[in-house]
Amino acid sequence: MFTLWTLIEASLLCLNAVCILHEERFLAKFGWGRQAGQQDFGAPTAKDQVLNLIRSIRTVAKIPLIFLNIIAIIFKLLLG
Amino acid sequence: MNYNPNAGMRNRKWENSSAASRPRPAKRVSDVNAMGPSAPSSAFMAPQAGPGMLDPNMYGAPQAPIAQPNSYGFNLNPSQQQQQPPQQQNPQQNFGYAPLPTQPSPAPAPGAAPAYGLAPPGQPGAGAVPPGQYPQFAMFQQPIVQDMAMQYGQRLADQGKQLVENQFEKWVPVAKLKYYFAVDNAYVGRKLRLLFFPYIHKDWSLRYDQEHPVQPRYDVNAPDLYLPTMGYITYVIVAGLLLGMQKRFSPEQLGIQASSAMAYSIFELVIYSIALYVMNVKTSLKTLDLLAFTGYKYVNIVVCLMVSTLFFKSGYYIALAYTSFSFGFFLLRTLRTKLLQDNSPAAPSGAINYDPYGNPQQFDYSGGKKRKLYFLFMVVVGQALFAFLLSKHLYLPEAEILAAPKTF
Repeated sequence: MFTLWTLIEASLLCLNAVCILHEERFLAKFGWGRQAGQQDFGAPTAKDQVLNLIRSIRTVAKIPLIFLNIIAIIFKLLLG
Repeated sequence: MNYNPNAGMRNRKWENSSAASRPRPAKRVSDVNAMGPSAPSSAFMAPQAGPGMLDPNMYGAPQAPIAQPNSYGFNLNPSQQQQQPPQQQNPQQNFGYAPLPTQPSPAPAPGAAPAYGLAPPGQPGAGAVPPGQYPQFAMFQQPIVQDMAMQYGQRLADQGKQLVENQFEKWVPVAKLKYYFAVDNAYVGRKLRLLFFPYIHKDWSLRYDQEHPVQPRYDVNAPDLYLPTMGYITYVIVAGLLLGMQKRFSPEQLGIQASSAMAYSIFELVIYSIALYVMNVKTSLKTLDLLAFTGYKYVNIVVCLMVSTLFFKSGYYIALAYTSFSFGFFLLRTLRTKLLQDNSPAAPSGAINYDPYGNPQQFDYSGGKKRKLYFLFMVVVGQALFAFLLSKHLYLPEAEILAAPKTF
């Protein structure tokens, strides 16, 4: 069932997934590293935008995610 | 404040008497509970009659220790036996100061301090208080002091309210929301007709009033949030109705349906916003507009569900197909206006721009029309899809179905 709570859980997991992707160790192997997206000719392509999105999510959400994860862990421990 | 005719006279009278006889200079508003009787006027608090409040023994001696706010009025030495009737009024007045002493004690001091300049700690009147018993607290009974204290408290409350409002404004844009709810009945009727029969409408452009879109009240093409909100609430109610008709109802189901629909809506909105960003589509379509347009499908869902009560399964699918089609038509027409032509870049799209090295570049970037069309189709299909998802478990499949209660 798709309730608000499952949406919150899913978004937490997705944010975790996005923040885990490490730029140099992982994304560069796919050609998605930071240097690849910095070319200025042409309009920003979809790939550039996605990379920008990932980077900004990572910057913004790193610290709050720590607290959200701790809260989620406590909830799961207590409520099963 | 209530006019206290005797206050001035009492003040002046006390000025001439010996100030040295005061055992202790009056200090803080938190001492107010120890105030003795004075002017019987002034109750800006409604009189609260209670057995404990009329007890004159609650007002202690002047030497009572500085009262803590929570022991307000109860830690005083009931050493004085005051039986004059004016005292009976004082409990109501003193409790009017209850909000103030809950601040930390230094705080009232600056507020109370200027008041000291007004009248030397005075004795209210010869008839009310025997001098020497509460002279230093009686000053607080003067209307002027009460006025000032009340103003000070109000000022603080106003500041606090401003602060909260500023913080709130950052998270919820209240002013922008008000635009979306500026509707009236005529608009609602016209909009509903437009949602179901968009073919007869001729003029789809939005009217502007100096750069700002006109309120929905005056322009039937403008998006509003009233219909989506009401549609959502009606959806929850109709879901309950249909569940009841299928003998699947329990009160928790209402909450489940509401939260599920809300989750779908939020998810859809997030998908659209991310898609707008990733496809680099620059439009004047704000998130709230998107919320409004995707919220209109609740009206369609409600109509489909109600039709299914009359014509069951086939009726439901026919209604779904028709409303999806007409809503898609509506969206295409409206969003084409808003999305495709609203975006006027500063330079025309065929202009020559210069990159940092001074080499001319040609942008054959025609405003991303193709991408906008893709986005538009995605929205339209998404509406039909979500309308189906939100109602497929609810419609009435057969007459007299007696299903066992089941969760899905």
